[in-house]
Amino acid sequence: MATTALPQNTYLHDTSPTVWDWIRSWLFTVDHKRIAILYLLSINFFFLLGGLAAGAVRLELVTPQGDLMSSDMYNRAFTLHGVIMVFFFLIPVIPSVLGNFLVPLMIGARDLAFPRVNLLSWYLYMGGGIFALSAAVLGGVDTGWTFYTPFSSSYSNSNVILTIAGAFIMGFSSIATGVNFIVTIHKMRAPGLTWFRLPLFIWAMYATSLVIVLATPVIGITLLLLMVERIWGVGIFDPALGGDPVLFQHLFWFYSHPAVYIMILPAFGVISELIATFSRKRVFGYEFIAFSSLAIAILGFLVWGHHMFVSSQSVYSSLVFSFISMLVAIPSAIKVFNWTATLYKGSISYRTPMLYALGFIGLFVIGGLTGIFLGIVAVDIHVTDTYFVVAHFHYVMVGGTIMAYLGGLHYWWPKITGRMYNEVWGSISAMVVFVGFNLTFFPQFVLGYLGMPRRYHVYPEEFQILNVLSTAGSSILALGFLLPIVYFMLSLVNGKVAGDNPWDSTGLEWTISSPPPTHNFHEIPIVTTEAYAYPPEAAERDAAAWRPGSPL
Amino acid sequence: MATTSDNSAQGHAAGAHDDHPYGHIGRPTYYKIFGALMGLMILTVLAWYVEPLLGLDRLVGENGARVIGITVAMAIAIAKTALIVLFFMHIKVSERVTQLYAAAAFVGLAIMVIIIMGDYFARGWPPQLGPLT
Amino acid sequence: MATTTQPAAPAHGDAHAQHGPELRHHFETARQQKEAATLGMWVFLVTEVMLFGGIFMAYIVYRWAFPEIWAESAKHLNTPLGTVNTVVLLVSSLTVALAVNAAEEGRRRTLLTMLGITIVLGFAFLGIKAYEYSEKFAHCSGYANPLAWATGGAALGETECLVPGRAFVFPEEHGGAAGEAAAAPTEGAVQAEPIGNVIGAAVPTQKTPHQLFFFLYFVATALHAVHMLIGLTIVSTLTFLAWRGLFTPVYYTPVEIGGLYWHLIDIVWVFLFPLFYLVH
Repeated sequence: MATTALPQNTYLHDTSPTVWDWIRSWLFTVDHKRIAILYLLSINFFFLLGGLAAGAVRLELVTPQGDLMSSDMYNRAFTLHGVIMVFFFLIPVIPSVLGNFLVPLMIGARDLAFPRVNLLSWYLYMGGGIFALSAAVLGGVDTGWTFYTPFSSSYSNSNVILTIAGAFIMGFSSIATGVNFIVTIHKMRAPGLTWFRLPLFIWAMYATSLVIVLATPVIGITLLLLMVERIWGVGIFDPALGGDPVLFQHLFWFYSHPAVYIMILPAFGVISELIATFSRKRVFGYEFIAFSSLAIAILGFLVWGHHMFVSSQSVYSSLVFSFISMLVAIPSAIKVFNWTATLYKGSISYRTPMLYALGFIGLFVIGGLTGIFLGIVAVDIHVTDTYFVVAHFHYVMVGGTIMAYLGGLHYWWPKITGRMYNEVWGSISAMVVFVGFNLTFFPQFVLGYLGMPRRYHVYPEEFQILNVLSTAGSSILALGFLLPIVYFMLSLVNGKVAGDNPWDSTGLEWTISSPPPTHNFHEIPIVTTEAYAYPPEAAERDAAAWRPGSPL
Repeated sequence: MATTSDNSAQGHAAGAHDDHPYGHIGRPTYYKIFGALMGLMILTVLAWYVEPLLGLDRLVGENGARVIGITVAMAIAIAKTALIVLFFMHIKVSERVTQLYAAAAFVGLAIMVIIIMGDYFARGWPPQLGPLT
Repeated sequence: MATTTQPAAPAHGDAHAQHGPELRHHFETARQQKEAATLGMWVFLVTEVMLFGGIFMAYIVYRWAFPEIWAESAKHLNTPLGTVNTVVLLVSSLTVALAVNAAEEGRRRTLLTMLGITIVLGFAFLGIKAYEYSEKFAHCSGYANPLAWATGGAALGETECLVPGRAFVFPEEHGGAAGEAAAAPTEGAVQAEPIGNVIGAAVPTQKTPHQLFFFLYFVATALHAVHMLIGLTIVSTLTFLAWRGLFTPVYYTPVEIGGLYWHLIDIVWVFLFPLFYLVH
């Protein structure tokens, strides 16, 4: 494993004679690994943009008065933050970056089933992004990322159509990825790789793709109907015509609730991988985790009304949605218990990816439990549209998905680039993220419980101290997000060469070189063992062999 | 589920045998299904035409839905769809995964329609004004 | 993970002796490629079903809410033409199925004929649809039919504009409403009764739930027509490739999956037809 030079002939190399050829080799690539890199760059760009919008929001909220920006400007700021973070970051990030890179490698395939569709999905993402950016540049949109009618359809004077067009096009990018993953996982597994020998990341990607394929078209048609209504001047959500604005909400949330499972299921998959590797143990309850992913995917389609408890939805519907929302928490809890059981008597190493994974477990539990609070109709009546909801979803989306993404990025960085990042800085920034995150969002639970509404740029004096804490935390969080950019870039230049398997992990992706060759496997492997086949004494042996500076 | 790709050389000379491990639909079947489709189409137009004459278009239920007409029309449309999906689209002779996904589409639709209409049935129409007006 | 590797399997090792040039090299066998393509198209069709499902959902809600208005409005659609269109699409489904069958059996001329007929039928469908739309627009402009609209001929006796928008007028004698609307072409039919208790419904404007029906009609059939155009593009491409001799009994996957897409378009119409045209 001790190598001193990067391998030759990896997917990053090519024989382009001119710069123009080199650009074309990247922009017209059909190699899933290169497409993953393209996504990595563009998605992180949008993440920074969404983060800037968040910064503007938090800056305004330092003072109780609306002194930094007008209420209209504030509306546009939080809408931009929401639209970009939801549609252009959280939904595509783990599937399109880590998923695209790893799915073929983990199943022993040479590429995804439809490589050209994969490239198309990136161009669709960029196309949608351009629309959203144009909308932002032209003044933004003030409807909130939820685009509720009739405000968005009849009354808003902002760039609704441009923004919706961006989200609509991005939806097709998502669908393309989902179709690709489903077919790849069904049809291109290596010989001997039965379903129950798959890494749990693949199960997670499969469940995610299932949700993508069934839910995304519904937001597509809903946004299309909204677009037509705005352009044409008449539409089916207009109360004056007899239309029902709540129908928009039903159709919107029919996608947008499963969408949050699109965000978290891949994160679950990453965490399973990280926990297994960094406790040197087989994941406890493999089948339970695998099936719980499918259960979440299916149950997630039955709970959308919990976003609509106060929308005049029928009380009976609300009760049904509330009950099923309780049920959907169970598979998630099963996962958390299984991960904890995996940690038990494992040889735990506290490398950066593991710090993110452990942070995930704690923060996701808080986020998930507060979701249960919100799923109870009686409680939701009081805290809906307050900062309690904001804190809840940031705990699961940032404390959950983003932590998992960062953990996965650190874990697979050596595979993607062939270089190790600086571990000291990695650990530091993981802890900075953790501290900054909690400082930002825990006060928001209190604020929401005390009654501060969301989407308001002014608030009563007595909430100021908590808001200041939150903004202070957000600056620390921002630092934690920016640090990796620096040391990842530096690692490309002077990072230690990683070798094939720096983490001594199981998994087909670790059997090939880092970075992998373009065609992935010289010969398609034949799989004969289960996933995470760490020998029983691996934990003790590795603990005994540990020396300062060893990889684990 | 066992993997479906195998590394042994597959002779491609006998194309029909290779490509239809699950059965085959021949031209006579296509013509028969087409005949059935046209028959169903005539039936649905006839039903529409005949219902007012037979008084079958009376309102049923408090919301005044013409349930009989809708039921007949939808039943015929579903029958036509089933024939097209099973035979023209080869689902009948496709592998299980494909059949599952074809079914999943309609399950997803059913979930959406049943739950949303459940809300509307429970709320009633028109949407009620709140206490502040 | 303990794995063993096998030396490159014969299907891949002998330089392309065992498969044709159409095998993309991330697949191991042609059969795997075909199964992947078929499954991929079906998964995509699932997304199309859910897409149209959203419109059908809105339709169901509003038909349930306004059954009388639906019945009145549907009378203004051209049911005979709709029936013809249904026949056209059902026949085209047959020709597509026969085309796939011909490809599978290597009968190139039949394949080309069937694909060609499909294209003709597809354009016939779109032409009839375009005529139906132009009927509506002609009435909005005050003419009896599209020909009169183009040549400045016979005027429509009554004020009627069924294209949703400012100029929407639902003709009075079909039960639209009593009111002063008939004389003013830019005003709409006044509500005979308020739309329940919805705030704002008491104001007499052209805003009536009839617009919901016609909005859904135009959007659903327009979306369907867009898919028809995509389908025609696909079938035309297949025809070109078939003419170039690309398809053999060993490799005709594009014909099969293109056919699947066409059948879906037909299925959508099979539902659109009774829902919009055959309403009482």
